[in-house]
Amino acid sequence: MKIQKIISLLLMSVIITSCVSDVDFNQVDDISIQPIVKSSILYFNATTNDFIDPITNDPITFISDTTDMRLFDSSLAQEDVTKIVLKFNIENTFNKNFNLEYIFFNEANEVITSIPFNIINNNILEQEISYENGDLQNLLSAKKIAVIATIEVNQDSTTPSMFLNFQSAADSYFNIVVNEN
Amino acid sequence: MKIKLNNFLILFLCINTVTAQNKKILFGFDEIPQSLMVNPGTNINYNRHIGIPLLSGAYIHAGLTGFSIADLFANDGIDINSKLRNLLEQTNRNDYYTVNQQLELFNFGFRLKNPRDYVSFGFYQEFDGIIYHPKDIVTLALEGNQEIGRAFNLEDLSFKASLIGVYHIGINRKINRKLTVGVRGKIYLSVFNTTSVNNSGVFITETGENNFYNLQLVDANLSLRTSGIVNNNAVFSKFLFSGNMGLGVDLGLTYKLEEGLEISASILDLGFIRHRKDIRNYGVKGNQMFEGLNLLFPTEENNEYWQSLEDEFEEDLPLDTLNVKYTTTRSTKLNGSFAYRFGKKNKNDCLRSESKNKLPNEIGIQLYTILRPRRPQFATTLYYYRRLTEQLRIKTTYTVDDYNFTNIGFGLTTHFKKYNFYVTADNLLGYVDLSKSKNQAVQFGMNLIFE
Repeated sequence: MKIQKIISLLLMSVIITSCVSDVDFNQVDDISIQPIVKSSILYFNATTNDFIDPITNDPITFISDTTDMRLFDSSLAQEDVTKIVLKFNIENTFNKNFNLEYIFFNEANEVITSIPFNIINNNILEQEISYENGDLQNLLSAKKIAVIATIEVNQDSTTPSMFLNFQSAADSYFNIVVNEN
Repeated sequence: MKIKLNNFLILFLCINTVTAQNKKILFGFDEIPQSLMVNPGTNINYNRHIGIPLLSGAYIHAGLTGFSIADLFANDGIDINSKLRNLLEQTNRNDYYTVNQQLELFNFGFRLKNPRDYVSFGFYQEFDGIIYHPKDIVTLALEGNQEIGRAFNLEDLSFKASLIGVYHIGINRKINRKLTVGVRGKIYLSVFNTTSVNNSGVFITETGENNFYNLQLVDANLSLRTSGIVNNNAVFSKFLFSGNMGLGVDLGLTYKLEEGLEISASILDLGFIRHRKDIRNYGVKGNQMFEGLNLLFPTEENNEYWQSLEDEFEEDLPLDTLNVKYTTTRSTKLNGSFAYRFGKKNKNDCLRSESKNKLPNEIGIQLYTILRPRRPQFATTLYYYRRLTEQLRIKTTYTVDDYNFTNIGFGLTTHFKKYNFYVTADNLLGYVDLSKSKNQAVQFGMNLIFE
């Protein structure tokens, strides 16, 4: 049995004394990732018919709509987003100018921020707005969005094929750190 | 979170191999009774063996392809985030991380009245886990969907893990001077199982028709099946009696071509487990796309755009939690070898029985395959066996497998009177620096052998 013990001892010592080069697992704490999430928010295509009262056939000077919007609700978005870029693309083929309000509301239905656009007739408006720090925190509390589109009157009458096309999206920049402390 | 991750990494470091469950050193090392577990048709040259309970066979193997611990965690002053990014770029979807561990509770064997037959039986516990590197999903997490038109393949998600107990009984019969065959029946008792394989589908973000982006989930089909995870309060009793049982068989043979030349082959764990108790399954199947909320400017207020979007998601991508019974197959393993024995017999050998009277040197080639969820893994081993003395025999191996070309293994078995001790370890060069090793396996055990 002696030799057996010696051999096992020898083998154990090989395993125990086997080397591990200089590794530092605390580096895990430094791991961070920066994904960018792109998502559309809302869109509409308002045509001439949307600006005519269906009952009286009288022209309407403004239209509006409201929706719940829960894109920022996740805890990941709430805690780890460092920047949001809102993107807008608005095309106006009417022969009239439009004023458009893009309004964010919080849970208590209070206005957080309101973005005004003036889109002149037969034109395309592209715009990007970046939110960071305090403005970002404000934006992240958004639960609802309203859009109000108003036609500037006293211009030529409309023809049926005209439209106001509105597109909006958000690019959210994340910074996710493994160990926050 | 931090502590758990560290422990996980250290586990890899400490037990560090690549081709899972390739017990190449044990295969054909027929002085060791546990070689019957890798070939039930191996040559048996003793009359009885008793494995020391709990100590007769312990095996652990961990392996990862792609990169090593040191590649990521070396204290080299390079920012870990740039190392991580480089490694993830090099790593592909067929790389994997695997752990296999087995422990024999008991293992006995004895020769029947008919001396051609040797019966062995026992019980062992086995944990087996494999996860493929989910390349596209990791990339999505790392970069998000910033690249328009980039398709993320959900097929990359593939893993399975199981903890089982195995009762087994086998018989080894020497048919004639040339041929020995063996068969082992197994009853598997599943303690827990989790399986997510055969996932499919694509996530892609494209330029939308109506809005900036169109986020699409195309032909998604994801499933996760589990058994024994709910009601997990009786782990130990499940080893003895589990509602999730299965059957399997090992087959093997050794054939002497002529003096000194021998071929042997085995197929292990040709079997299945039927999961019927404590099942929790999840599945998602369908298509979805999102271009944003489409405002319609109705005259009435109270527009449920968001709610209808959520409803649409639930309708188009229903979460299926049907807890239906399912069957898993075991990871079947195939071994084959060609051996050549040579050298001079010891003088004393003339006095010994024919079976003991074997030449002291052996060289050979072994082939190994294990069937895995995505594709089989292969390994080829060249080996040299030497009977140094009656008390001490050794075997060294050189193995080439998926991603490792420097795998040198070593095994020895000692026989003092009836006491037998054996140990095998592969990838010895890995011990020079465990943190750089991708692949390490160790097996050892003690038996009493009666000739």
